[in-house]
Amino acid sequence: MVDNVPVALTNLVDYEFNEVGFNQRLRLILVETDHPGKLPSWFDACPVLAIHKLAKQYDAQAGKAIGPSRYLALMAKSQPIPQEITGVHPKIVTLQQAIQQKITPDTIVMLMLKAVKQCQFDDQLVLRNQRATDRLLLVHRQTEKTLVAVEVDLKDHILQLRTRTFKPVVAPQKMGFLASDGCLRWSAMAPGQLWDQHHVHGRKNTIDFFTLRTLADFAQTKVGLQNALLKDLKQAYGDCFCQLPHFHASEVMAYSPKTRVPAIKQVMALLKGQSLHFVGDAGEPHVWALVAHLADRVQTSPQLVQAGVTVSVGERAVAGLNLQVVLDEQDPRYQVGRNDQVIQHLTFEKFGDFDADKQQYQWQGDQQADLMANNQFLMTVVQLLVKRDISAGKLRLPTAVKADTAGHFKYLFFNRLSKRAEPLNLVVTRLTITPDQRVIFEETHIQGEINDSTATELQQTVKRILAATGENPYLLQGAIQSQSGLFAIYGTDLITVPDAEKITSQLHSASEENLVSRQNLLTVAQGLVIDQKHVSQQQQLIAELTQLRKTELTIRELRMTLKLSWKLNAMKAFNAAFHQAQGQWLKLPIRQKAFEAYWTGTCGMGLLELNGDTYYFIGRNNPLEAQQKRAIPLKKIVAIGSLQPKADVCEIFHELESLMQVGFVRLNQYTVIPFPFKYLREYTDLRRHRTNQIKGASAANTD
Amino acid sequence: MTGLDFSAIFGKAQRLTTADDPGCLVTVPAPTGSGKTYGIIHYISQTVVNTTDRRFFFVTVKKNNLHIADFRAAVAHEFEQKNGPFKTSAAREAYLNRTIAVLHALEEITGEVITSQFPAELSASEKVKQALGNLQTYHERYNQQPEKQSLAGRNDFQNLKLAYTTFKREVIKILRRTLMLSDPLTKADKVTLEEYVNADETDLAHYLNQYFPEINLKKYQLVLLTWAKFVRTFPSFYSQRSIPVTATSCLGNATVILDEVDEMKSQLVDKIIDDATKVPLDFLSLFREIRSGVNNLQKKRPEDVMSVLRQRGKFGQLKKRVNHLAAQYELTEDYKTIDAMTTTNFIFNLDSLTISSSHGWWSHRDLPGRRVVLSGQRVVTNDLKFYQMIQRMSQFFSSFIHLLVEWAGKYCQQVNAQRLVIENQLELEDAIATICDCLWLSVDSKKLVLGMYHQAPLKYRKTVKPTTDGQCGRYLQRNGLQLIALTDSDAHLNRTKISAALVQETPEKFLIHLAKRGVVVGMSATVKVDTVINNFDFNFIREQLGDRLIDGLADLPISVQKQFDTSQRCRANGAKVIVKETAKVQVSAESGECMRQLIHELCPEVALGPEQLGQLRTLEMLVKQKMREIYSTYPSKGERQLVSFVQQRYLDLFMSFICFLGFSDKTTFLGLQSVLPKVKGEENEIQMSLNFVTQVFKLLSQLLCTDEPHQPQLRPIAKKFTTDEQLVDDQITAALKLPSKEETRVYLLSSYATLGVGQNLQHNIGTLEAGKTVDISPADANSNDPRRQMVDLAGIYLGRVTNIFTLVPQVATEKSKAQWIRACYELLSLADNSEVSLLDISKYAKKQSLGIPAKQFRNTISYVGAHTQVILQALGRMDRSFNKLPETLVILGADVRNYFNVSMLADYQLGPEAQAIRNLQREAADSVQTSEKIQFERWSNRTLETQHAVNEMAGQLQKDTKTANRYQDFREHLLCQPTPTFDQYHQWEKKPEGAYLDSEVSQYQVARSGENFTFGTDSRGTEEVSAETAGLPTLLKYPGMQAYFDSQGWATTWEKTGFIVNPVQFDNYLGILGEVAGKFILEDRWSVKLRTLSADNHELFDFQTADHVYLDFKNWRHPHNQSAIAERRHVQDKLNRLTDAQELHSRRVLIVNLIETTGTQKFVPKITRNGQIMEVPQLLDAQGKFALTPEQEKMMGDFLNGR
Repeated sequence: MVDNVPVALTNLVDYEFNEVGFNQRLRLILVETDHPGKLPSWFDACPVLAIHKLAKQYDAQAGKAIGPSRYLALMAKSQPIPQEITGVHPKIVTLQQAIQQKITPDTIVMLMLKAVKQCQFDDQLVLRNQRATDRLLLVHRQTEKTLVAVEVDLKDHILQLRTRTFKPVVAPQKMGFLASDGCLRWSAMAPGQLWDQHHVHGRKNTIDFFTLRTLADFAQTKVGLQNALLKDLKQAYGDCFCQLPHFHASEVMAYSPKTRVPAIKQVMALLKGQSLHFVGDAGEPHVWALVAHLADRVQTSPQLVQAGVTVSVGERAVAGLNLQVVLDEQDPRYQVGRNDQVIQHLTFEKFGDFDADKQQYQWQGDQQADLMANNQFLMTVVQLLVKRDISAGKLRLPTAVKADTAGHFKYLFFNRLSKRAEPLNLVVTRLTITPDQRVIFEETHIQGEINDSTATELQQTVKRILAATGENPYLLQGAIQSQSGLFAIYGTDLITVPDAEKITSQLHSASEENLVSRQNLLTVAQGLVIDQKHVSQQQQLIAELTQLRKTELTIRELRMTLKLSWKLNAMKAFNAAFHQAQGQWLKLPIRQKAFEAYWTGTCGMGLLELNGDTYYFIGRNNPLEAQQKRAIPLKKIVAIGSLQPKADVCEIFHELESLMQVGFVRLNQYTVIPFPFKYLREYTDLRRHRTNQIKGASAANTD
Repeated sequence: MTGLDFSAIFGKAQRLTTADDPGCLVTVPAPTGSGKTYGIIHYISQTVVNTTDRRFFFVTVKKNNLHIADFRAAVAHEFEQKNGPFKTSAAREAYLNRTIAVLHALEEITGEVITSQFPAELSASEKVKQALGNLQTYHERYNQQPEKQSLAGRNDFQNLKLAYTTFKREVIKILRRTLMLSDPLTKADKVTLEEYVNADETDLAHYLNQYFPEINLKKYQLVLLTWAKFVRTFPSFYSQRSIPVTATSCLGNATVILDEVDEMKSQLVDKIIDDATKVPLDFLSLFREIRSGVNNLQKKRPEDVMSVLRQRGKFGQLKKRVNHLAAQYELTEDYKTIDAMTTTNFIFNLDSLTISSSHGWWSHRDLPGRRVVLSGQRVVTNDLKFYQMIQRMSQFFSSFIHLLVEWAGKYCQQVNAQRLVIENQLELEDAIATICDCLWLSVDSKKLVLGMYHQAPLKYRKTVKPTTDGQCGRYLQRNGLQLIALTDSDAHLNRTKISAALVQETPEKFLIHLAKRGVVVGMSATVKVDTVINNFDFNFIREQLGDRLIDGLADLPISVQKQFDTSQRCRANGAKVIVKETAKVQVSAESGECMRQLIHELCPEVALGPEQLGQLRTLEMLVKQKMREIYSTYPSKGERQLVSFVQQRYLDLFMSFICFLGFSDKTTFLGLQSVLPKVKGEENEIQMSLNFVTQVFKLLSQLLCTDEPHQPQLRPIAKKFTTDEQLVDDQITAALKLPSKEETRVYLLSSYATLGVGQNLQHNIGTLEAGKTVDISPADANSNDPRRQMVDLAGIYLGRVTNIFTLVPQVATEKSKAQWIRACYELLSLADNSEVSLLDISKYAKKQSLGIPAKQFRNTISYVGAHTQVILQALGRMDRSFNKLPETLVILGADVRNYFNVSMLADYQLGPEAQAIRNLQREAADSVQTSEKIQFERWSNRTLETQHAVNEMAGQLQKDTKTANRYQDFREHLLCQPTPTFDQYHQWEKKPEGAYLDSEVSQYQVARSGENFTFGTDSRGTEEVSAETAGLPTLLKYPGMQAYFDSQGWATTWEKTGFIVNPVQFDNYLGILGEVAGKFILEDRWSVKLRTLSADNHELFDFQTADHVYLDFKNWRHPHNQSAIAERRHVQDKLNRLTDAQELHSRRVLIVNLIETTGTQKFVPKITRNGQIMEVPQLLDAQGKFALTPEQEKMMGDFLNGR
């Protein structure tokens, strides 16, 4: 059977406990105490494999947690339970009892993961978790001043890795995390540096989603780490599961593989013959210098010149396309566009850069000969064009086909003003695109309950969406209304993951440290059946292999020795044949088409069904890079009030799909939600600025 | 079997030597187990008893190999055979004590003395007893000192020495009284004492004989001592003075037997380096003292000394030279480094090559600062040529010492001529001191000068023949190496201390000197292995000694060879050797299942019960955790290779554990690695943690050896694993007791250095092995031979060998100085043996100083040799008894097989295990790294070097005049020296285009494929490189050519000089040869004047005429039909590229091939491309005669003149 249906993996972990196996090897202990200070010594004496901190009882009346501290500990059955110490009350529970007591299986799996990662053998070869810590934090990289760790969490069967940044603990504070054996442990003693979690604003530390450079590098990425966690779990506690933990695999419906969506053509078409006006405060020398620089760059941009774009500079916005350079968003000179004036802003803070060599201000990262080749500038122009579309009330940036498709729906954008505990306070903006591609925005402000009798159609629609059963309205990202139905889009913690297990094994068989034997190399090279044209390459290869000095050599040595290029046909054939024969890659071809199946969920787009709900992913549209920084999130799409939700979603997805394939929202990338939402966001943004300005003006008047 | 017959070997030596020329060096490459120790003891004892004039020095590397008891027993036995039994045991003792002397280290001598029984004369003296008491105190204190040479430790050594001298002084006082000698002792008194001791008739004399053999060491017929002692000194009986063991007064022309001779090299190098660094020479201050000494008024100095100095104007010359140096390099100013990254920097002077631990250094005058500035920047004005200064200064100091010694010698003669013979003669050393005083050198400088005198191999200098042309460079042997250290410190802020360590002596010269003086026998199983790293450079020694270097086992009768061949006996009796390689079993270190895989792979029949699965899981987790720990210990990308290296080393070791544990018939196993396991807390413990290894061993044995009554044990062996003063030998004994007495299998884990050499690891057959062993004893073996009761190891694991070369340390510090010198010393040894060129060293050093890890010179004869030696020595542990287990397992770690070359050894010299590895290589048709192969590869690389250089030059000919000139220089150089002599070669050695091949031939074959050349193939398609192929003899036959070549200084013949052009050089040689000969013929025949092209057209064509005719000469000996079209297009392209004023269409090209091509096809001149190009297929025929017809000649003339 040829398996043509694409299958994508997600970070949803499926597993099923084997109670007998679990209870044979492990035991769970519920520990209660009023003296939490005594716990560490008790945990050490046990020795526990892992601990989990349970919530205290919540006293609604007092509005705070009361009662003893409660912990769930995991222990090996083979280890004796230590004698009770006063004030600590351990109670052994079986797996079943624990689950009956509302402890989720995810918590127990987490305990096992902690055991795998945090435990070390002592000198007597007893596995123990020194300084057992509730959180599972794996050290990723560490410098003198910063430590980056990955926090592992499993909730609702979703395995999540989050990057956490830590800074050294400063003097008065005595407790902190201690890095040991690749984990962070909560500790008061400081045999080494103690760390404290730190919220970083601005520059966020991230860990790459995956990289294909070497196996060791791959193992340090989120995909690699996730994969290793499950693998370790299987290896260590495989006998505790009937169904071993694994990433959920689903068939992809409505899969469309990658296509290119470059934005530049549309942009240039729209700019033809236009005039760009740069606005800046001449009294602000830095800003003015940047304005001058940009104007100069526009004038010398071959693409813009060819399109007949003219440029002017001034202190005030003019009718038409304006680019205003401001110091930052709080700059009082920030001008909000009016009907005939379309203004896009550039903050000096973000983009200004003084070039000491040339003694001039320039566009940050401006290196290309053509300014339009600079991604940041291109995106700025795109924003400007979006704003013009909004102010002109007509869609011109998307192609006619796309704008036409977009017109099949109405789009609802939710701007929640209230917090969770507060009564509902919500602004909803709706976008309608008419057949002649005009855009109409409606807005409604909802406070408190919606009264059915007085509600407008828009308000009633909103009510229907908010009332959708089983959905968390706080995750709502937008809704789409068609003639036939209403669909809500929710954010989730789910992501798609590539097939890490197979990638690992491929990377492993391509590791530079692998040894190959000269004899095997020669045998394969001699056995190659190739095109007559390339026989001389084959002969040269054989000659080079014959010259090899060592009987056994690493792939690194081999690659260094061989003079022939891997791009040659004979070499490609040799690589493939050697892999066939020996299971080792001399050069990894993983980015080639043959391995496409490994990346299904991260490339192209499609629908997945998980536990009866429908999700979609919008992956990458360019060919696989050696490195990917971020994961591809899954969005949940719900057909509100539908009797056949799956079919309905599938039906509209084809249209939605094309609404994601525009290059102007995320620069040549698919958008994650349909592109009209970009217009909605820009519109509300514009509104916000206007209101602010009016408020500011009126405030100024009252002063 | 009675062991090796040494009388035959000595017979050879004796036949060769004469009274005038008594020396020779005999190597005895006898395999382990051939009974060479037995043989030599037997021979020496016999000779000692039966002659009176023959003396022997028996020297070993390790103290416990001196065989003191064996020698005494054998000598006593021989004596009784000859003279009947000793009357008393005391008589026996007395005889032995005056025949055999053992030279111990000071702490051992004192140890023996304090437990000695005093004769009546001594015990009567309270003062002697008191001195002995003191000695005892210091002896104990010294022994309690930690091993390390702390400052305190050295103090107590001095104290001990002093106490010993005091004790001897008291003894001498008693002697003076007893023998009625004068005070102080005169020479005559000493003679009296010697005679008294020699007669050995009293208890006192006997006591002296027993404990103070140094009184008359030259009378002893047999002296036993370690190599460390042999190359150093022993204390004189009369004073604190030290006497070199090799001094004539002690050694004389005694026969010296060096056991394990190859290992002595390394020790001696260490000693030489140690000596050289002991007296660091402060360059500038010593120089300044000498300068002021020679310049100051000489009137006040003693005339008798000065008269010696002034002989033949030597003093004046010295003065002139000193002043010249001072002026040239501003040596009177302070030198100061600026912008130095480190406070210590090293500069090495290796012959003409100067390398540095950091960046290059330049010195320049800093006039305003009144100093000389040393920096990494070159300042062209005021440059003081720092490196040149260093070289000149090194030469100066060395010649200064020579001059001093020469003067001192003359002064001695002068003084001694006036003294009585019996009186104390003026010693050379005192004479040097006198002359130093006369030059007003300070006390410190005097010490320095004397120190340099002691190191400098003056005595041997003349023994080294000057190298004849065509032989290798021998930089090290000729000039040694010099280290210059630049040190900045707060103690002298305004100047940088420039100190030097001059390494002049070499182990080879030491050995040669020994061998010139008398017979020297060097015994070792591996003495034949080619390497200059762990063995003496026998190529050099052979060069120097000629036929005085004898192979003691050459033409050994087949019957004897057979007798030695253990492998043969093993095969005959059915004992097998199995070789396994770790590289064949590959598992991934971090996968978490590697142990399971290994067990499955190595012991497929092992089935693990469910109760063992838990244990296996623990094992897997433990291994996985450790593997991760290694990774997280070295997280940076640059350390990835180290991580996988360390991980693999563990896995390889575990493989050997499994191979041992999984098979209960393996009773004993030896695991050797380059590093010793590390105990907790040791630096880099994770790299080979003993704790981890032990845990894994234990878990594995619980898995694999469940049904054995006693769990097998792992015994790590090394000095550091003991808590008490237990010796390594005791550890071995204790470990081997397990199989022989306690029915417990044992795995000995250690390093090559600790257990891989010199140790006996056989054990008595225990219950485990009883009845299972194979008897391989030779037919004539003595039934009482203890080896009959013993059995050899069941297997050995040979881990990867990593530390062959001394690594160049990362940074230069005072502490790492010795290691730096050692590393450079090794590099230079390789160059000496022409395994690498100075160019290679300079590239290597440059990389190193930039912090780029430089590739070690693994593919050298010495590396392979040293590697092979380590393996052979380790395998030598396996053949030490007459019993073997039916199957001996050899496990080879990574790369062991790749650097194993025993092609120079005969079958009988290899044990069964070494033979098994060799057979494996043969079966797999390994390209064994023989010297020949390595040389061919080196040639390929050298050719490639030239190719790169030529390509680079060719690419810039039209752009860069400098390059164009360099290229022209290169080609003309080839024309002059296609086969250079060593000195000629040396001048070009550091240029890649000067990479000649070192071979004493005048022609060779090479196969070409693109830009790759393969040497040493005799297949079809090879090209010949020779004067004939170049057409040189043919061209020279043309009238006038020979004279023309002679007048230009170009080579007219290719000589066998030792160096010859490489194939790329040959290509260029062909080109230039064609050009010069073609020009000569054309100018001669057609009376045109050819000139070279202007710079921007450089080398597009060879020449041009005034009429814009361009000439290309070809020196093709074979038809080039198939590329004729391509060649024409190429010429047209070149024509288009020309930048001259002439219109394109009027430019013309004449292509001339000089000599008639071989083959039957005849070609005629023709004109193509609208008359623009004319091709002439030959000017001369194969006999060098003009080959054009008159018409053709005219046609060419017309073309040339534009008609």
